[in-house]
Amino acid sequence: MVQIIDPKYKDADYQRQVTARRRQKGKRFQALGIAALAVAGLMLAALLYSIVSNGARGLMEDRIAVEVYFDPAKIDPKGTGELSVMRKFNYDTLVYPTLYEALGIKAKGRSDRDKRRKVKQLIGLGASNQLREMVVREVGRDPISDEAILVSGGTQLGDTVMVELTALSTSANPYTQTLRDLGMLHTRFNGDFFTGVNSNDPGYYGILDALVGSFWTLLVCFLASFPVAVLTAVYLEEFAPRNLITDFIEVNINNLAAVPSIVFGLMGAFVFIFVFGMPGGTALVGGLVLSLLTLPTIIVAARAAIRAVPGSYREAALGLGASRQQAMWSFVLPSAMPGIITGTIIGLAGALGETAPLLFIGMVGFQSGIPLTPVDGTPTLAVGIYNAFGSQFDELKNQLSNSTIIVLLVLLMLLNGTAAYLRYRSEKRQ
Amino acid sequence: MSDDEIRMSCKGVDVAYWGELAIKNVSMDILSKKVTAFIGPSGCGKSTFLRALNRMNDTIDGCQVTGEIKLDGNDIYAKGMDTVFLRQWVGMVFQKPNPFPKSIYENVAYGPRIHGLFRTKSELDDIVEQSLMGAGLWDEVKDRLRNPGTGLSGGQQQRLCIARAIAVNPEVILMDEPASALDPIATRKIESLIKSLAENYTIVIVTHSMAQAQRVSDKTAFFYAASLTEDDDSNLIEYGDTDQVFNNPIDERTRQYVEGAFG
Ligand SMILES: Nc1ncnc2c1ncn2[C@@H]1O[C@H](COP(=O)(O)OP(=O)(O)OP(=O)(O)O)[C@@H](O)[C@H]1O
Ligand SMILES: [Mg+2]
Repeated sequence: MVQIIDPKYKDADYQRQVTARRRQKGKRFQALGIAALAVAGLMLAALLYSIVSNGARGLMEDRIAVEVYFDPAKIDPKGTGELSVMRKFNYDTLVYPTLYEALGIKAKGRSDRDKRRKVKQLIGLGASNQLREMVVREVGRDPISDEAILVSGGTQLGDTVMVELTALSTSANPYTQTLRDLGMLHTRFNGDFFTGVNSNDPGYYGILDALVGSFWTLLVCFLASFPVAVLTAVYLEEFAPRNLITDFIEVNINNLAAVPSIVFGLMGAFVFIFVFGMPGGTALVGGLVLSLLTLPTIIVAARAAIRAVPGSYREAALGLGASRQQAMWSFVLPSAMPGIITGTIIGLAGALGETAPLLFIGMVGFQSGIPLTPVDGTPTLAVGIYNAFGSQFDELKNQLSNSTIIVLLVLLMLLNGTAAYLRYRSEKRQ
Repeated sequence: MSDDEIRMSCKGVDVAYWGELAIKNVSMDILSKKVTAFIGPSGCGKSTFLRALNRMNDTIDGCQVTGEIKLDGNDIYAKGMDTVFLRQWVGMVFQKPNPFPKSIYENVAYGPRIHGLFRTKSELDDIVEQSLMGAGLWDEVKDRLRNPGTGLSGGQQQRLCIARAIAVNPEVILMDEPASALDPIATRKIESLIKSLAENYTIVIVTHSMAQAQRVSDKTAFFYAASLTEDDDSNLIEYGDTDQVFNNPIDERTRQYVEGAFG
C-alpha cells in the first residue's frame, strides 16, 4: 500500500494539538460574536430607552381645569355684538386672573411680573383657540368676498363656564405642584395625540392626519410598485433573452437601489407635480415617489425568490404540457410568494420611514385636516416626527416627537409581524 | 393491432450541447405498447435522447436537435408542432419524484385542467380516481386526497407523478431512472406498475440497473458516449430484444457492459 500521509501527522499527541488549536479558534470567534451582539444590543437598548422614556411622557398630558368668565367688557367692549369683533380677542387673557388669584399672585404691578410670566407659559395658543371656538367659529369662506363665514360657538358673552385646557411645559414650571395640590391641574392620557392633527401648539398636537396620510401613501406606493416589480422580476428571470439590453436594464435596477432618496424627491417634484400637474404635498405624489425607492428592493427580492424555486416544479409542469407562462403562474410564482412578500414589506417599511423626498414634494403637513382621499395634502408619520419637534427645542415637542416615533415603530413591528405571519402561512400550505 | 406497430421513429438524430455532440446519428423505432429500456455508462446521452423524444430539450440553453423524430408519422420537430400539444401525447416522469406543492388531488388534476380535458367536477373526479388506480396508489390515498402530495413517501410520490402523467392520457410515457431514488420494495412496485402500464401505453425507460432492464423491458438500447465512438457512425451501439441484448450481444462493448454490471 502507498503511504499517503506521514505517520507523524497521525500521532495522537499531534492530533490533540490540532484539535486544541481548532477549539481555541472556535472559541475566539464565539467571543467576538458575543461581543458584537452585546454592542448592538446596548445601542438598541439606549435608543429604545431614550425613545420610550421621552415618548411615554408625550402620551400623557397635563390639564388645567379653570372657571372662565367670558367678560363682555373685554371681548366686545363697544357692545357691537359682531362675531368678527369677538374673534379678534386674545382669549387666553381670560384665564390668567383666575390663576393669579388661586396662586396668590398680584394681577398688577412690577413685583410679581416674573411670576405672572411663569403662569402665562402654562397656557398656549391652542388654549386661546379652544376658548375662542366656544364663542365664535369659522365654518368656511365666502367664495366672492373671501371673507370668513362665522357662526356662534354656543357660549354667550357674560357666561361663566368650567373649561379644561392643556397645560404646557409643566415639568419646568414652579406652579405645577401648587395647582395640582389645589386640584386645578391633573394628568391624563393624551387622547388629542391620536385624534388631533398637526398643530403649532404642542398642547394640541395630534398625529391622526399623519397616520391616515401614511396609510394612503403606502397604499399608493404598494399599488404602484408591487405589480410592476413582480412582473419585471418574472420577465427578467423567466422570459428575457440574455442580451445587452436586458443586461443594461439589470445594471440600472441595481443602480436605482443605490440612488439617495432625496434625489427621487427632487425628480418627483419635477415630473409628477411640474410636468404632470399632480397636486403637491399629497399621498398620491408621495406614494409614487416612494414607489421608485421600493421598486428595486422588491425586484431584487422577487428575483432571488423566483430563482430559489426548485427547477423540478417548472420541469414537471412543462413535462405535462404546461406553457412557460402556465408553469410560472401556477407553481413558480406561488412558491416564490413568501420571499416576494418579505421583500415587499421590507420595501414598504423603508418607505414608511422616508422623510427627505417627501419634504421635497411638499408633504409638510400644515393643511391641518385629516386627508380623506390620496389627493388631499397630508404629512406622513415620518414627516410628523420632524413636524412635532418643530424648529426650536421644547420639552413637550421633544416628547411628542418621541411619541410619534413610538407609533412609527409599533407600525413597523406590525408590518414585519404581518410579513412573518404570511410567510409562515404560505410555507405551511406547501 | 399488430404486435410490433411503430409508435415513434427516429432517423439520424443528432443532439448537441453548444456544438458538442451528445447523441450522434441515432436511428431507432420505438414500438407501441412495449417497454423500451435505454442503458449505457453515465454521460453517454440516455437522458439527452429521452428528452429529445418530447422536446424537453427545447428549454435547455445551447441544446440543438437535428434529424427526424416522428410520432405516429408526424414530425415532432416540424415548424407547426406545438410542444404543449406534443406533451399531451408524450408524457414524462423524472428521476427524482417531483410532486407539485399542492394536494394529491390537484397534482393529478393539473394536466387535465390546463388541457381542458373535462367539463364537470365529477368528470374530473373520475379522471383523478382512474389515474391514481392506474398508478396503483388509489387505495393508499383515497382518504386523503386533499393532503399535500409532498407528504407522501418517496415511492408513493413517484407513483403520484406517474398518475399525474397518465391523467392526460398520453400515448407514450418517458421515464428517466424512475426508481433510482427509491428503496428495493418501492422499486419493485414501480417495476410491476410499468409492466401493467405497458398494456395501454408505450413506455421508454432509462435505467442503470441491468436487472431492472431485464425485468421490465421488451426492447433494450445500449448507448456509448459520442466522444468515445469516433470510429462508429452512431453512439447507439446496439438495439434489439432485451433477451438478445443481454444474453447474446453482438457488440463487444455491450457484452462487457451488461456482464460487468452482473459481476
Ligand atoms: N444541459 C447541458 N448542457 C451541456 N451539456 C450537457 C447538458 N446536459 C447534458 N450534457 C452533456 O451531454 C452528455 C450526455 O448527458 P446525459 O445527461 O444525457 O447523460 P446520461 O446518459 O443520462 O448520464 P447519466 O446516466 O449519468 O444520467 C454528457 O457529456 C453531459 O455532460
Ligand atoms: Mg441521465
